[in-house]
Amino acid sequence: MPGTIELPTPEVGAEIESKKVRERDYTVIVWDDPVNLMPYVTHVFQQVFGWGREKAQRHMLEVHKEGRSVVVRDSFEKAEYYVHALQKYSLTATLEPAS
Amino acid sequence: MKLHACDDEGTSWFLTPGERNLLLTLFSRPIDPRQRARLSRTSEALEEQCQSDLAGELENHRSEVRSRLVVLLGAAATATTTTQTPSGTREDSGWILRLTPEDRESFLQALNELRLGAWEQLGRPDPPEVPADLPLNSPNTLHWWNLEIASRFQGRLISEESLE
Repeated sequence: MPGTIELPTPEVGAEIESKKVRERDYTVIVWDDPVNLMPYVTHVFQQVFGWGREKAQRHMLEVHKEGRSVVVRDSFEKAEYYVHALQKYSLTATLEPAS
Repeated sequence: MKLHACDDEGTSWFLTPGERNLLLTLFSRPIDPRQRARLSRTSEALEEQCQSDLAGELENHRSEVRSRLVVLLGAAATATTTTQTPSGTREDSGWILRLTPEDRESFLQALNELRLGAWEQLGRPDPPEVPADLPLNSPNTLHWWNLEIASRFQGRLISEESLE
């Protein structure tokens, strides 16, 4: 029709999906790898989470023996912050939806 | 590299001229390409929505950290230390590198980045140990050397922590 302006369709579905992703809780998992040294991993946990050496070592050993350790369960924003912080130290850390 | 002094504002490290040159060379070279860091192993939605933020932030961070270390190493002050040896005292000339707590973390991150870059170039060996039969002319010699030397500096920075 002449004179009709066609407006773009808002991507409502994508926005809702993004909101859903951000509203749930997440766990931060540190995975074992053969290259990061054990004292280094302990140090990183102390720095990033402010943990004492004993707690940091416990999680480091869990990573080493079990292959992974859940280090945080929190909101999307906080969990994402911790994953970025851990990956700046080159640890293998990911964010997974909490079950 | 030895812990020289520490106070509320940070730590000072004595570097020999060779150590300082080595670190300047290592941090001035282009970064070895690294495998893309994943944000999530189970959530495709997260990977799609947030992965580019993570990749960009990590790339900028790595580049800034290395540039900062090159500046710090360039600004190190000359110094002489006296060491007690079984045959008497020995004077060593070198450099004092001053690190704030944040700079020290950057230093550790940059060293680990070197280690992981070299390890990936080597094909991610498990365990990451130099093979006993590595030929002298192997193209991997430099990567093994980077892995070992960065580990040595990293170990020194962490082990001296308990002495502070």
